[in-house]
Amino acid sequence: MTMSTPLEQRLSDFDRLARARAAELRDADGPLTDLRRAGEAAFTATSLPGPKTESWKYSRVGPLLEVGLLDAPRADASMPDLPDIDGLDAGRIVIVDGLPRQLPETSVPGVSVTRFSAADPADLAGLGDLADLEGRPFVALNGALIEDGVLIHVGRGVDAGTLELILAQNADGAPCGAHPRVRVVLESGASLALVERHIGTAAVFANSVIEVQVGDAARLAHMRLQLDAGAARSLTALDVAVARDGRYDLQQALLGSTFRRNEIRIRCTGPGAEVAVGGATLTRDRGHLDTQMCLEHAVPHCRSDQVFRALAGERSKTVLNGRIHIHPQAQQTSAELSSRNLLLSHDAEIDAKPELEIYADDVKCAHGATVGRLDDKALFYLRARGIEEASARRMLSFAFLAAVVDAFPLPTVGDHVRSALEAAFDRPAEASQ
Amino acid sequence: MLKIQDLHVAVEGEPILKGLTLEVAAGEVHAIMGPNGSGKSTLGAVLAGREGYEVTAGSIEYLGQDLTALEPEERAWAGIFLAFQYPVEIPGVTNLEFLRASVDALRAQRGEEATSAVEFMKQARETCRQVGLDADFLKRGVNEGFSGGEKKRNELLQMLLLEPKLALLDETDSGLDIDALQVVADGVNSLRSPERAILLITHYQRLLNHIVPDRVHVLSGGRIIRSGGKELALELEEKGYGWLKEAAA
Repeated sequence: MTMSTPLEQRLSDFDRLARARAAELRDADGPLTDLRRAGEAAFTATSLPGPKTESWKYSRVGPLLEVGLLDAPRADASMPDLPDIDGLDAGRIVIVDGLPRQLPETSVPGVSVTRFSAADPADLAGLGDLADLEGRPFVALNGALIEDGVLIHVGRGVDAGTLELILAQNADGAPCGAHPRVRVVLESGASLALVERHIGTAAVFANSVIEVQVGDAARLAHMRLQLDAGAARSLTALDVAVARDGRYDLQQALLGSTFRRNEIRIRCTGPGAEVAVGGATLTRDRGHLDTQMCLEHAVPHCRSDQVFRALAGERSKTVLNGRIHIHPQAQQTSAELSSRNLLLSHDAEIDAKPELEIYADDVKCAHGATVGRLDDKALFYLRARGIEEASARRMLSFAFLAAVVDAFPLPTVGDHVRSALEAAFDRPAEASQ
Repeated sequence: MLKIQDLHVAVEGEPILKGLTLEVAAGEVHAIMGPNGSGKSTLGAVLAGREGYEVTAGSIEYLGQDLTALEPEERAWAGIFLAFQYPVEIPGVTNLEFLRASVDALRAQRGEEATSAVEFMKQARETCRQVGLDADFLKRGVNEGFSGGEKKRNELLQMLLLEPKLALLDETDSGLDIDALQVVADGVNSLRSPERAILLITHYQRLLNHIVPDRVHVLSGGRIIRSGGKELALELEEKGYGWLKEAAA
């Protein structure tokens, strides 16, 4: 598709192809029929985000509309090479182009990891209840085009240890549309560390939906690693509900790619719920990274703490929309969001937009966003001690990200993240176009 | 070692130093005294190469080369060290990491190998003890949450590890209690040697009871208006700066 094709035309072509694919899948029998039909109906009822859609103001949908990005994934596509994280001891789940290809070999009592296609229909009953379809055409599309998915269930009071969830692209470099779907359910008192890794640099359209239910007094340490740059078109919806006294910790290390957008909605649904979110991000060249964060405090006595640190170099673009919504009944809420952003080049762009909606009067809420450059005083201090300017800049840039990287709950993952970010920072810029 | 001739320096177009001439030979300790706003800290900043301090006239020669042509890190490699009046806090970089990067940068310039982690740790701990800082300060962010006195001790720690040829101390004595002052003085005195020069920039005479200077200079209005031996500091302590300013006017 050439750039001269008007956006409207490309949107309508995409829409037509998507509907045709949804219609092919619609009547395939099985436990996912309801999800497909609901998805198709919602997709049909919602228009794709155009240039005037507010929540898509900074993310042009163009890179998602290219030919081939809606082709069905192939179950026999080559498995990519999946490097280990040094020292990480975890059961591995591999989803390639949206299709589950590998599940952990050994099972822990009380923990089940199953394909939707092999799950007891009763266990799939709640599928989709956390992922709102309204106004979210790509979440709807994920439902409409779903072929399979993975259900992670941790029983009451069970410590499931660590699971590694890999969302990868095929190794053939074949463009296609992937619609990975994962549902994570922690029953009361359960605990899990989940390392989610997005792997692949080819022009695959990955439209993931992850639903997470953290039960009463359950604990989920969720680490999200999107450490491959390149041509990936990655769109994720992460919808989380945290019940009474539950704790959800989301630490993210993210690099930009041709198109990357993460929509995250976390809801505190039971009193005493605690949420911590961290994001260390780096965009380079013409990379794009858009985080749409929404924290909903629906009940009293909950707490959320969010820390974002972003570095943007060359002609890249980083977007953070940080919304905190405190409902009228959510008294005694404590909610904080700190977003600090550094421009590493004059041509980079950072759009950090805080959004506060507070309808309760007895709350503690702090919200701050800054965009700046490296501190000249600190830079001079290091140089005056003999540290070369480039090394000093690097040192200060990583110091800036440390607030998040140091908060990764598994040190092995923190180390992996640190070296991946360093490698991405150190590589030379692409020749400017 | 250091030869400053008729130096004029402007900050944001505002002239601060207006014809400063000063010569410091190896092995000497000089004190620069003067009232607030006389240009003392500007002298330190311009010698260390801080951006925004524009040399509009005059020259600075250090070990036979034009110092103004060098970047800040090149000055450090050449042996210049400025102990900052206001050391910068850098959360996220540990003090140890910073000290090691700095020491190794200087070693690399001298063609020496980097220190081993174990060896460096040992040396850093010993130096901590010498300046009266708990070794825990090595693990903390650079100057992060340090008290005023701890920051000054940390400057001294860096100075002792880097072993400069020309040490510039910018009001290192300000805000120190008598014990800390003694520690700083002992540290500086331990560096005194025939190959090294030290320039103490200070507002008060009391530091000079502990570090006895070879020469004392009074800076006022951007120029040195009087130079003398160590007894000049005592005279200033007694009479203040007023009489000198009047005499110079």
